[in-house]
Amino acid sequence: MSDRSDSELIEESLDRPAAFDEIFSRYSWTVFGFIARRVGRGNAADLTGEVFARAFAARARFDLTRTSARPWLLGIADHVCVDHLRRSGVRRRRNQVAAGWLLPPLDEASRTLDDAEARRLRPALERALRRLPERDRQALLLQAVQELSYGEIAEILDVPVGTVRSTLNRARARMRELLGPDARTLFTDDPESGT
Amino acid sequence: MTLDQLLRASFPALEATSEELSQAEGVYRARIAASGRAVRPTGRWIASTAAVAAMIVVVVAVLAVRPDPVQATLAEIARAARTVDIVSLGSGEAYLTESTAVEATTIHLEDGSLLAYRITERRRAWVDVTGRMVIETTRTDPMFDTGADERTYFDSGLDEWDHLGETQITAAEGVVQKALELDWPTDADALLRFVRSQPQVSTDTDAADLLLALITESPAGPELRAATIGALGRLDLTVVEHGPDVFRFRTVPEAEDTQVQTFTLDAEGMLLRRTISTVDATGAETLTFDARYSPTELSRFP
Repeated sequence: MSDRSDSELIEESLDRPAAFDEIFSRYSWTVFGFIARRVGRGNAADLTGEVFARAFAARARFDLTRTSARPWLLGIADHVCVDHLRRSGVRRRRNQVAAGWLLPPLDEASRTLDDAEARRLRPALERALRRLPERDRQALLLQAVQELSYGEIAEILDVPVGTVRSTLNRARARMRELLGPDARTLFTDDPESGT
Repeated sequence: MTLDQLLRASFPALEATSEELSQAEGVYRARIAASGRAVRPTGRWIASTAAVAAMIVVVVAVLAVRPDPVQATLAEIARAARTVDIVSLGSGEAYLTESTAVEATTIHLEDGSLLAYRITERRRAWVDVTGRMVIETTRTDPMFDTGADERTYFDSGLDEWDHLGETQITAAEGVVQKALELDWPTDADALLRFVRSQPQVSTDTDAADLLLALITESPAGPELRAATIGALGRLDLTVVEHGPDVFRFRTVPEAEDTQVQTFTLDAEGMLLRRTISTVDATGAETLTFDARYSPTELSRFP
């Protein structure tokens, strides 16, 4: 891969479309992981291809003052996940806890959910996530699960960074309330919880 | 374990295999190639100037005797929508829209199997001028293909999950707020250009989906409603039912579309009904959503 910035490659791709291939090489792995974590592995490859096709079509609108294309691509991936679940004719899947987020069946998650407490808290976690306001839930999942920065979340949700910060504080406080006293241990070591 | 660790464990990370990345690349290249085919090469146009000129004459002749019925009808409705008198919302007031929808749902059961059923949702949606929205929903009358499916539904506790027979009240966010924040263009052509520039919009069905969201349970004023209806008239649609009081249109699915939408407007552009059907590879359609809307009324914000 070259050492050219994403914006340089995207600008070049306006005249030489093949330059966009390097954007695919740089970020296809990241975008796949972002999507697979949200809607499962089954459709992730096709949806990853869809993200890059949409990005290619929209590349003339990429803000060339930005050096990294990652938040822009993840913003498109966010839309693709939401559209995918909506278009599949399933508006209210039982395991859909947020727009474009499917909670995997317990047996699938159990490879990592080996902690007895995590398994015990799973039903309460599902209920609590569903009760959060949509934007709070999206911000929380983008930060906690996808480990995105405030700036990246702000770009995806199309809000100022300060709003992301306050939204996350509110979401965590509400989660603590919704999960109840049984889940207090979740918040004792959490630097974001304000405790 | 912290909350973040619990959330990360609940949505396990999945890394792509080389086969999956190849598949993704194949989809990406196929989509780009497909869109490239839609662009006519300049050279071919120059080489066949005479043929093109002849085609233009034919097209102009056809348009002269038979105007596009979709565009003409929706332009007429847009004109009426632009002149509708509306009551401006004051503080604490909202537009209230009531609707009843039959919705197809597929649930992943914990044993990995799928359960499909249809359920009726009665809904009242209040929205104020700032886009704040409160929705009251009541789900009733689940319908099943078999008695076994019905037993599975109740045995699995899905009636509780659906809050069957209970009235739920939620605050919601949606495209309407986004619309107000973005200050959508009120010129039909500019609005359609803007809609087509959105990342989720690839086809005319996608564009119709987003445009219809602007006039569903919406505080949009006459100018935006008229522009939305005018923009719909520029899409590839067919007329299913033509007045005098009710007009129904249908999107024409492209190869990449997985759904078809229909929408019904009254003569002043008020949305009366909307359906969504999924389309499989053979072109067979399955109705998954059928909502009927009452006229929007002025109400107190709850």
